[in-house]
Amino acid sequence: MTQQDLTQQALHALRAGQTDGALAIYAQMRRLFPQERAGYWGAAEICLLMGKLQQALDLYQEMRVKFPQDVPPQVKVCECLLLGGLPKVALKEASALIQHHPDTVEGYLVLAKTQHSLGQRNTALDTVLDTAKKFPRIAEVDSLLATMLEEQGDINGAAKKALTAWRKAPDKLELLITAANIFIYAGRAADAIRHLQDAILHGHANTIALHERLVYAYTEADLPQEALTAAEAMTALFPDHEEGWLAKASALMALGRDDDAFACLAEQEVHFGTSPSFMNYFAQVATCGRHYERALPIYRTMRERFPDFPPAFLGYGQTLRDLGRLDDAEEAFADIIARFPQGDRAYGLLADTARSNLNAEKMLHYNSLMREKFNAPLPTEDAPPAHDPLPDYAEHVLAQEKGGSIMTPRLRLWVKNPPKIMESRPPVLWLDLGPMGEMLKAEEWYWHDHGLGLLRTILHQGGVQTDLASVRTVKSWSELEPKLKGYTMLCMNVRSYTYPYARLAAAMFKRLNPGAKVLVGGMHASVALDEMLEVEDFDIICQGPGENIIVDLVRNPDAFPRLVKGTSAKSMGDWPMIDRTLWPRPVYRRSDEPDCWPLEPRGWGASPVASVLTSRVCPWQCAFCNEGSYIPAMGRRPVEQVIEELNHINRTWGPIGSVVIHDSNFFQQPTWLEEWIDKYPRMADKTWEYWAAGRADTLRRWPDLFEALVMKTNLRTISIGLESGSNNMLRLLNKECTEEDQYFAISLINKLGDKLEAAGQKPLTFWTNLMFGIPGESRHDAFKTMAMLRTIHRANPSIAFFAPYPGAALGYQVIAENKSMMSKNKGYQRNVNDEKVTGVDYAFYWDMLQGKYETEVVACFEQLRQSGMVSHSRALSIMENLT
Amino acid sequence: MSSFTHPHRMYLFDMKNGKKKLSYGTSASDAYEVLALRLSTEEMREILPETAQKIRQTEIHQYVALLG
Repeated sequence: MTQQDLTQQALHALRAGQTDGALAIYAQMRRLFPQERAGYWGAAEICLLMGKLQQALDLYQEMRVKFPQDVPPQVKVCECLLLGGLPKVALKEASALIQHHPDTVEGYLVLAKTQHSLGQRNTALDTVLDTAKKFPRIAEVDSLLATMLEEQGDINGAAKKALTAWRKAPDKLELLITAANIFIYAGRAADAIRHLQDAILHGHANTIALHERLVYAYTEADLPQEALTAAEAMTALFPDHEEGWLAKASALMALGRDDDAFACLAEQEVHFGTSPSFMNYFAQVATCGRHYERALPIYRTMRERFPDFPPAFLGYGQTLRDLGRLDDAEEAFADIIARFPQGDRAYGLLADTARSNLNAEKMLHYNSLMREKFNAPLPTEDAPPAHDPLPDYAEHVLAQEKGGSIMTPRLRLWVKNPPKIMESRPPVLWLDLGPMGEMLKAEEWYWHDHGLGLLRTILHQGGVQTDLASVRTVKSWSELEPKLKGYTMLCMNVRSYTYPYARLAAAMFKRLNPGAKVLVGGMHASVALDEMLEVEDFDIICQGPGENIIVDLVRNPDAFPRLVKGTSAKSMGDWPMIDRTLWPRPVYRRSDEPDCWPLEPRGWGASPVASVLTSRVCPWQCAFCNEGSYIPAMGRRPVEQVIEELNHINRTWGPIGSVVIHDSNFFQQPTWLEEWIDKYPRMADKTWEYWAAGRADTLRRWPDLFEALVMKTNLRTISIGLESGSNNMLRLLNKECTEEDQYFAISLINKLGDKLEAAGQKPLTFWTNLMFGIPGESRHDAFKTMAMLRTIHRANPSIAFFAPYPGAALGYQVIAENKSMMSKNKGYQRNVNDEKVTGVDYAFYWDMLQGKYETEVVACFEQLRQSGMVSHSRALSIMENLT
Repeated sequence: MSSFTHPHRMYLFDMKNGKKKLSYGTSASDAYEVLALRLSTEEMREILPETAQKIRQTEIHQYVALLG
């Protein structure tokens, strides 16, 4: 038997849905032809697509040894490491790859992807731009650049780059499809149509993927009749390909002809009934218009024909649930757990079904089972949730190898998720905003959005169910797109740094759901209302607190004007306890950490972390913040209520490792703090260590109270925004603190930390925000700040550049003086990666932060020592001993 | 103990070009000095120090369009 024969057999097995069979064939190929790469590569690709990361990695690494000059397996090693949540190891591998193969572009591309995964977005972009200069003719570089630009929100730039990529490699039609997708997301479906038609007319009429994308582009351009015409052309040209019929059904549904769509696929079942993807789509079409009874027999057939195909069983259970047969649904989901023990989705569905059945005990039981079961180190099977039946992906990869028809996974995803598919879902979608992909990285820190949690809780308790999607759990806008389809309302909590995401998401949502509404609120509506109003896709803007109005807004949006003023509760104590299961779930976790959701995986103390709020709004007037100017004052939560919540979290999802009290300013209101000191150690299940924030002048005013908090309530990380070590800058920032206040606080924190350490306990750590690049800051001011940092024993500094935010006094003023370099389109970010204000010498700061002004900083440090302002500083003691 | 013994206020100053300048400090003169920490001599000449108007923190948004 030749290798070609075996390859054909493997392909045949994949088409029949027999992935294990295909893997066995590849294993045979490796035994018979150990010096040929096909047996390793084919098996590795299937393992990768099935999510069996470890096995895929082993095969690629074997290839690396056997075929050391073969670059693609080495690239795949890096990609497996990235998928497995090991970006730092991936970075080392990528760097080694470039060292050994400096003239191959793939190494640089994977290096950029790794840097991107580590959150080094600007570095990754620089790498891609440098690679483009080194390899100007390589289309993949432009394609990667397009992806990065798309993620940053520069959709038009991304579209341009994607098109450039295709023009460099016109035979790589997937690049054209990528460009077409981006054009569509940018709202330029007409451009996508033009390029696709051009390609079809000039030599690529036989590429089914182009026709399929053209149908989609017509749909997105609101040309459903043209979409149907194009789909009918597809079925005429490619009658033996299911894609054409699926596209036709989708086009019919876009025209509102659900019954015709169903009939079209019913007629083709005889030809494509052995294809899991066809049957899956057929079943989903059947559910349109709530015809669940049509879908049930299809899912039954699928279960018999494809016993290894999880969507058949999941769809069956979900349809039973949608028919209201909750007990049968529960049985079906339990069957899934028995058949597919590696997947966790059924547990979630069981919990949801129990919730619908008003059985809270069962709901908690299934959630608990899920956590226990998936406590183990991350197995390969627990990789990204399957978007698609695997054989299609594998077939696509192998077909690509052989130069066959191109059908990107994204395309198939669209075909299987047409509009109006999930009418059984709640009509309202809440979109969690944040850095794209933040919850995909196992190493990443992230925090749950308490505003989102509170408002969803209020809605659900008010009888308005909502679904949830998150920008933070996807890699790209194209991955987010299917999640936005099929809803009548989108809700978003918009902060200044998420404003660009909100704009893009609203535009995408509107295209996908004609006639649907977008409801937004959040801080940015308070600090930059004009920017919110200029976005036509925002139908209703709630300015101010939304808790008292959200239910009415969602239930009856037409009864409200475009701009609505929210009113807050008098006290945070009036808020309901947040239902933490309404927060988004991360996709990955670190292999050495249990699944702790809905707690946060890491913070400044032991994991997992429970973040809570006790108060809202810092009433001080720092000129870079001024939150007290746009958030109304509210009563603080009663101490006992906070403790009760912590105990509830601990008993339901715990054990809690540590707590983060995420108040802007925890150390205020001495009476409340005294009650906290009395009750927290007594009434909490455990006196968990916690992180909390304060101010230098309040520590100086109430030092004994602060010491009691540390020694009696296990406060172990205190966050104080020192910002600067210069009185001039403290005045300019309106900190209402002096250098003396700062050094008093540092001395006190050093002393208490040393005391705890001497007693064998975990010492107090000082998390401090430091700010540079303040307009008017001299170099000497900056050196003083650096010197101040060195007086802190256990410093955890967070360094940022002054960023002129709207809403803050100094921000407003700098913007009015036309000195702001920040762009609302890129979000308001305070990181040190780029420039924020004109006239500031950022090159100096970057040099200083790299240690190029050590002499000057030490000189300031010596001045501090001589001033006697700081006590309890080991660093100063060392200097004293030296002198 | 700064904020407890010397609380700060927000101040608006008129400018020669009809706009306003927002600052803050323990007094109007202090707020004027704070501006001098970052503005150039030419920019300071545009500000009319005797026109200081005290406002609350919660009122700053009302004056955003007038700032220059």
